[in-house]
Amino acid sequence: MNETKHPFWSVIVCSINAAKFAQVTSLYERLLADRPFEIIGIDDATSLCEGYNRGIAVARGDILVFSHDDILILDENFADKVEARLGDDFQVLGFAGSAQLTDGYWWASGPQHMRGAIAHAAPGDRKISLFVYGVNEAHTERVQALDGLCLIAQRRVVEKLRFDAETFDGFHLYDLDFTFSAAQTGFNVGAMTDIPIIHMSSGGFDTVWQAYRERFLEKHAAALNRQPNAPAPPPRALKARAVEFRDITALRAAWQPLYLRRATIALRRSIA
Amino acid sequence: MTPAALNFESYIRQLIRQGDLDGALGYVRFIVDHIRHDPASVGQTLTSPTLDRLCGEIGALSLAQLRSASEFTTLSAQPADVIILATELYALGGHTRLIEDMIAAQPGKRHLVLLTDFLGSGAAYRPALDAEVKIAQGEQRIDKLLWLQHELAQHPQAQVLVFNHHGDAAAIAAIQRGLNREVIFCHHADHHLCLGAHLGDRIHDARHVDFFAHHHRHCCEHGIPAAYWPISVPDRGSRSHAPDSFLRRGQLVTCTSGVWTKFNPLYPFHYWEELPGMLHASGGTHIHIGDIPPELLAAMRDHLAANGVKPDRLIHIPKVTSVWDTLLERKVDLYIGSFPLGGGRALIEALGAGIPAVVHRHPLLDTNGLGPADTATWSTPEELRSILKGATRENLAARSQSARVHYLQFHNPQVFKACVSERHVVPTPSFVPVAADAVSAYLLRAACRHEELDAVFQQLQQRIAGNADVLNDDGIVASAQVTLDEAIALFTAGKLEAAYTAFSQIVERSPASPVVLIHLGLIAISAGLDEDADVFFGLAIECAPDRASTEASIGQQCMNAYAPAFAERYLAQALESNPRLTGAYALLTDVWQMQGRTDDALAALQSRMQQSAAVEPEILSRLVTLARNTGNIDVEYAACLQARQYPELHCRAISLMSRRNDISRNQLSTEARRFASAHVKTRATTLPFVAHRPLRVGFVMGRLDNDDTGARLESLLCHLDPAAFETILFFDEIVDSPLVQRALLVVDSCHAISRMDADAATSIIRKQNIDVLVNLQLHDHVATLLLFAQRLAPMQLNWSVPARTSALANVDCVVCAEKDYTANDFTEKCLAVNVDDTCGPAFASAFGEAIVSLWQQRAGTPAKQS
Repeated sequence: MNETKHPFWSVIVCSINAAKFAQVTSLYERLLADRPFEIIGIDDATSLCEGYNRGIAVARGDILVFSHDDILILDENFADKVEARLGDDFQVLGFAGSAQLTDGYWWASGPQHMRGAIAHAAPGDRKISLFVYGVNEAHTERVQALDGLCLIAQRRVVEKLRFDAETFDGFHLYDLDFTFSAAQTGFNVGAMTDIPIIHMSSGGFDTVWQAYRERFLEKHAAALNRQPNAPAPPPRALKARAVEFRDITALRAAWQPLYLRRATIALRRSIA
Repeated sequence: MTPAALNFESYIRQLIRQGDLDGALGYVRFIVDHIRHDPASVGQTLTSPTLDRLCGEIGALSLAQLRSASEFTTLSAQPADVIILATELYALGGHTRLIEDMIAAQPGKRHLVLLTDFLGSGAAYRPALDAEVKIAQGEQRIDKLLWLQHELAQHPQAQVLVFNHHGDAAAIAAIQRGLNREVIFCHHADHHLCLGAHLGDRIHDARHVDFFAHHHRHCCEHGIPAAYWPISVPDRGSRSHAPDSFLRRGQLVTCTSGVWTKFNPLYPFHYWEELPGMLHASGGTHIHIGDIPPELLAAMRDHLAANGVKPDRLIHIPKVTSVWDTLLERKVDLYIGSFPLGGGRALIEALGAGIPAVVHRHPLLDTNGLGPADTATWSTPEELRSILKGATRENLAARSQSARVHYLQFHNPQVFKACVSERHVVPTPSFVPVAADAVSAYLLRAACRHEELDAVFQQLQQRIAGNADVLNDDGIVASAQVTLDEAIALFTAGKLEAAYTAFSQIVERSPASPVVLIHLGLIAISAGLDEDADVFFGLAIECAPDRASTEASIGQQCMNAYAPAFAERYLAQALESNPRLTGAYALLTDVWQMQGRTDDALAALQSRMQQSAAVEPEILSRLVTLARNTGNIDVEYAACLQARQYPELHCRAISLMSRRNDISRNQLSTEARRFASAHVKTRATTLPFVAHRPLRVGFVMGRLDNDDTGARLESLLCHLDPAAFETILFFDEIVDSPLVQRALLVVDSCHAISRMDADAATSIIRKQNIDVLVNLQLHDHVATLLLFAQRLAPMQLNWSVPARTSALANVDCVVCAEKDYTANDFTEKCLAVNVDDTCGPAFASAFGEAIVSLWQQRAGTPAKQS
């Protein structure tokens, strides 16, 4: 029997919650059970960029995962799929993002350019909400920027590019900046749509986010084709196709290319 | 106002620095109250980021104090899923009902209501909520804040819904980062400054929710990222939209509703003053729902009389259990929104009931989007009078329908529930922007500040001065004559002592009034005085012209009052007096069901059905329902067959027939023809074939469930080629299941037509410009079938199995999906899709091809592809 040589994985998690860290560690131990891997926990990050950069500095992996501590990945073939896709095709992977970034959030350019699907389930909530943003034919879609709930990068990306801890010294827009910068540098960035993932929290806009958005727009004004210091319009609401399921089995049954693609068509038609 | 108010931020900070957190909380409230009570601030000053930030600073310090205490880390043994943080609960207005809706929207979760009692009223009103309720302890404001934070800290995984009173600084201060999993500020305050709208500035993830379109627009325009969860009211059915159902006696019945504070702010004119002019213009009667101080009510009636309007043309109903029901019962033609301040919930109840509405355009308030686009609005009293004069059956009927459609699109509980569960985002209603005139707004503000009491209020003052002791605790005007309506309203509101006094007064004037005597009997039952009750009922029967009907009425009212023994006795008496009283017989079986005697009830109903020469609807409907509920299919089938004149029951009979082994397809087809000729009077009509996009296929479902029909639908939704077809679903009811959720995920759009009358449902379907309408349920749902019999799309298809024909006009084609049958088996054109699995992709594909082919044959042109 031939033994395949797998790459080494480094999973970097910034977490201040021991219970969540234990949970996400257990998740990756299961997903990477037959592979060499390490999990690097950062519990005193001053910002996500700072924490992730500290993780990168000690990471030994060929593949680096930057993961939130409140996610659940429901595909036992996660590692196989990622390894197959990282290489010449893609160098950075995630789960949802924008194929055409125009602002400091990935859904700014609307449903035609959104890619991916994410399920949300607040802790203690008995329902899981599936949000479909955009799924076409391919299982991994080329994007310009990704949501940061789970980012996966080849080592060569972090050798060339780090998280911008100076500009993004908080907990917002570190993800968009890193992935957009990677895309601008020439790396292929992709959103995987065939791996069910649950995010156990929800995000929101606040004035802190707004401040980082302005930093982002200033930093990437040229790439975004914006006038420097042009006022940012009010953020648009995230439009998605969403339904609720009572359990993971039902969620998995719906997380099929056929349903996701058809939901995407319906979403885009509804906006048109 | 002190000079410090000009620099309130630094003044409050000074208090905070001095450690006087109680004083700081008090000063925040002082500022909010001061602004809130200035009429010129209405609609203008709604939020304050500075005050919210100051509350945050106060709360951070109190939390630090609390954290030093050892018991702070204790977690609740019964963790709440959802905490509702409110100042107090209110018997009036929509606040507490909204809280009830929030609780109902998340069933199965453990809810905890924390009342801050920040205003020190004692939070005495305690309605029955499906939640544990706790009231803040302590006398001082800071005590209440500490208590609150201690409570919140015990539930770190809870979602906190903030429903604070405008100036409740403790509620807003209590919310601190990391204390609870999620915070949602529920911006429910009407038109006034309210603390908390900017919670999102300092709490990561805190969300802001508005319940009215104009509030939502205002907040978004002021940079607050807000979600819109349109307030909902349970659907209690609509009035008819037929023109002849309006102005029934040739007179307009108008209605307003709301607590009197909506009507009495300083303003250039007042409801009380305008009422005579309104009644002159309408020529009819006007109903006011909601408490009015008795002395003011008397002054209003005096004012009417002084202006040549009979005072009894104003009907006052102090309290109702449902505004919606009252509007329907009273056959209201036109609802006039409260003014100058509009009330949201009552207006929505009116829209839901299909009552056209008139809304006041306040110069300082944006009321756009409060109703459908054709809602009449008025600015000056002359405009209102003109609207009332111009009301016709036709324009009322048209606006009635759009009112109902607006309700179903935005304010149906299903929409609210979906918002709460974050299933979808609701767009704010479209509206025509009205440019605000800064000068008129300024003039109004100036006028408000300088207005003197008008004649009505002077009259009111005189009345109060002359009758200082007219009020008692129950709101009865001792010196005035209590009307029967007022007494019944007290009884309905559960104020039994006051009702007893009121009825006693009336009975002294009119001793032979059966209605009054029956109510006195019912009050006696509530008091446990059974013998007295029998005496009152006996007197009522003696003085009534129709003994049997009075006995039946007593029986019915006793049943409604949950007194089954009394009900049984008086209903039996009524039947003894007149055995033909079908209603009494039916009610008697209801009483037996109430007592758990279902077998007796079923036998009695069957026996009555067999004995009667003609079908008695009251008996029949009970028999069918009871048979179905008890699983007695044979009894239900027999009853339905016997009652073919009723479309629902005839339809049900066919549905039951199709499941019986002793019925042939020919018999079924005969019955389908009989149904069509008896109940579907529509003639075959046509609509033009306009294929200008992927064909729009509409599926009309009665009940979308995890069954064969649901699976068939899901397959079609998934496998019909999206380039060739767009799918639209119309449903009456949804049963939550994974299959149903998947169907909702992939369908292009869906529309609830639940509990709508046929006209409203037809209107919704027609608006979607469907090309091909498909009924997948055949005779399982009569409302679908009757809708389908209308021509709602150029091409209409009916599922065929098991009858050989739908026999309905306007059905262009039946779908034959069984290999045993051929096209010759069907009367209609047959769309034969002979594949093994009617839930698989092959079927969907064949179905799609057949539709396109049929469309091309009928339309004469190919369907365009996108």
